[in-house]
Amino acid sequence: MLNNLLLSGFGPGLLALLSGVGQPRVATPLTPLTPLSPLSTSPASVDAPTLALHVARVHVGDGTVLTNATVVVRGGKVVSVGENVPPPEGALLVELEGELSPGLIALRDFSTARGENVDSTRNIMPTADLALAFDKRHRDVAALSAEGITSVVLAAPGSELVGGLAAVVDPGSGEVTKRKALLCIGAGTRALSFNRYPTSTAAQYAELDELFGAGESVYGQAKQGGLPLLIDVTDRADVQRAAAFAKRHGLKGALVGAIRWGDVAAAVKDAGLAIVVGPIQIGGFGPAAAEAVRAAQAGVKIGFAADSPDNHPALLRATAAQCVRAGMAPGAAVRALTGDAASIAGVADRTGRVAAGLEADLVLWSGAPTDLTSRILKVWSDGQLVFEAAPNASSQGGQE
Amino acid sequence: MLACALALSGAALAADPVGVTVTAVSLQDQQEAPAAEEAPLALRAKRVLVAPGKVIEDGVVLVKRGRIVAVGADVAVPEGARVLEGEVVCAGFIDPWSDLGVDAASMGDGRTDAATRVTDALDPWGSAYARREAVAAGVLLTRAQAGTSTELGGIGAVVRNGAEGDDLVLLADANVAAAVGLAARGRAKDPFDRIGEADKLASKLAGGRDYRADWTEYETKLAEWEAAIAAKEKDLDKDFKKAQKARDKDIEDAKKKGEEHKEKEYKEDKRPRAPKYDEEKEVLARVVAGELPLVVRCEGSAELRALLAGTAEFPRLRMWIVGGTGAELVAQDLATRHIAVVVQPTPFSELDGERPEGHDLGLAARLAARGVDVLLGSGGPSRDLPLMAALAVGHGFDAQVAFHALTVGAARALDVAGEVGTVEVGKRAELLLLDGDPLTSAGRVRAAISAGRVVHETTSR
Repeated sequence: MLNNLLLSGFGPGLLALLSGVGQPRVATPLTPLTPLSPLSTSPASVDAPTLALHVARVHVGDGTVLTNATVVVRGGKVVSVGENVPPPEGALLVELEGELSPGLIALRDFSTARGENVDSTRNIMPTADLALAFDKRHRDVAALSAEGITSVVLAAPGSELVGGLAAVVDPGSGEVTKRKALLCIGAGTRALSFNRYPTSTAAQYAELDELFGAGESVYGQAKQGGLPLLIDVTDRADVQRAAAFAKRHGLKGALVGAIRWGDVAAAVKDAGLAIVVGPIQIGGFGPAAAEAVRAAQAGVKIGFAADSPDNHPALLRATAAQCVRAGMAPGAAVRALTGDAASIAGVADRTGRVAAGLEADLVLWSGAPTDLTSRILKVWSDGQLVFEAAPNASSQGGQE
Repeated sequence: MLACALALSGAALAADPVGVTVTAVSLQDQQEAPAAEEAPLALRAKRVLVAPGKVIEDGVVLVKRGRIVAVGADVAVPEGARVLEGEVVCAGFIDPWSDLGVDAASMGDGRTDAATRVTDALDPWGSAYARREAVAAGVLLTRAQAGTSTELGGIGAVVRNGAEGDDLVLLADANVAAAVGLAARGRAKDPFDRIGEADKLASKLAGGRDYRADWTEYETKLAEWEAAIAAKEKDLDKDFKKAQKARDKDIEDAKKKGEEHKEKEYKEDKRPRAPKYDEEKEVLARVVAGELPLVVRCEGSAELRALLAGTAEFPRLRMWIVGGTGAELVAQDLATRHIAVVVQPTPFSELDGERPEGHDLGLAARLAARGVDVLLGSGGPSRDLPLMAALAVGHGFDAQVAFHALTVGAARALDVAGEVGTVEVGKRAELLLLDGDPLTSAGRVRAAISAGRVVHETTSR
């Protein structure tokens, strides 16, 4: 009753947050703190009430874990994060059971836009804007949110030499976070076709060298560091060629699409490129996870892709979990899912970590984020609850 | 050649300084001899998961000649035993829906029938790499099946993924497989055809039932006939001379009349005729009688409903469903009739065209919540069933139920629960030594024991 009364005056943001807390855990939010006080003392915060989320473990997104932590959220953003700190005066304390992480970032995805930017005739589309393909009403969006994915890089599939400009979109809010975030380049065998120029690897690189050598429009931006590349590669030779090509033109960005990263990790690191790993199918597909671990151990920055909706978006965390099984430190895997992914996508100033000033893109897990048996309980995007697991889905009581 | 023989005898000399005249042949014998008398194997772990819900802390599992001979906290390890240590010992996982070990042509064969035996199509070497990966993931046993998308796929077997020779097959006739409503040669069928297949299966089963009834009737009549013949012969014996005289007279009379003599006909002469032998019906009769479980690959709710209706007349039928994407709509019926569903929790892109609605990782949890017995299967391309099970758990399926499904549950469904599925004395040694609890990321397989041998071992990281 009292809750309802209070919530009614708090605006949709808080309502969403609280409604996501679940019945048993609105841990007496009203007793020690007086939630009305910020409203009375600071009229400016009427639309932005302060929430203090208290949780046993917070995966920050940079590889570190805070215990007994409090994350203060206001106006869809994280205001502060601290270990063993009391909630700020006037904040509404919310007790969360489980582990909190930043929202996951899928570094290559075709959700809501399957088949976009596949052009059987045109191979060079430098100005194609993938953001135009995003349909926030598509059913794929809910599936992403349910898997804790709060940022998605909508990219070209690598079947075109220059596939266009990837966009970072937020499936939860339905907004385009960053337009023209990465320039998609097809530098692997996927971009070759027997009846469309270029038909050989040599011609492919000759064309790329010509485009970036002239350095006009987007190519110039890329060379000046204003536009990172997402380069699709297939095998180890592609990786080496693409790394040399990027180095030659002073390009930054990430490689995606190969499996055997391990042997060529040094060349990738030398070129200052990152690697987008995955999707790694579950079981029986050889060394993919172990190769990703080798690349990470060689010091290459890693992120993950699920290529949904071709795959279930759960494959994003399943890919990370397989890397953990293959020897990647859980902290490194979480970082690759969040903080490092944000920096690869060029949105590290907005999301990817649980840190002051960044968007409150958060996931509440029943256990460790890199353990596949952990359930995703709640997902917030910009402080709004965008997913909540059905309570007690299995009749046999709680898992774990 | 000579060098080779010398090298071999040299090795033999080194191995056995007494056998000075050892030849290459006897060296081989010598190497095989200790295998027969293999040293006992002791698995020591912080937790022995005897069965779902039953744990022994700091336990030892002793294995001799392929069987578990002792389990407990106070088991003495005999001298000379090989000792393996880890965090957890549990039963090897069982995949009731797999494509391992069978040659691809047989698996996709569209002309199998109920009597087709998968044991005739086993090829452990054709998929050796995949089988090794399965073992490394802890999947030690799988159901091998021919004709997986055919109306009747035949008799499936339980095979070991870590064996090639005599130990390959654990149970040669574990089930009979059927499929209802699947696409044939890449072409989807219309709804009437799909539902019609359920009716067709039911009438096939009825054919099996009637066949057995005919045979039972025949055997009863045969016994009656044999008894009657015996009684008549006794009678004839009694008055043999009289009868002989009468017959001689009959022959004489016939001769006089210039007719052919006709032997007297007894009604007992008519032997009951056996029904025509039918191998397929023979097998289906076993299915209807509940001697062999029936495994039906079936996805849509309409087909499932037709299947349930069509099979309701066979009270002894033991049926389970494979696939079951539409099973939620018939969950109550499945729960009441204790029909298990093997769910495939996959994030794969490459489904087999049977599920236009796409992936459903929450299906296992939702069916279990409705009281359905849920088992988990890889469905083919994946070797890592435990990881798929973990994904189901991560989408609401109970972890204990998932562990049960991979061990005892699958063993029961495949009629091998008396042999495998738990870590109990007398069971076959199909065991795993893990680095952590099964299904968690920490639960990597440290060692796998199959048919009593260590078939996989990882060096500690």
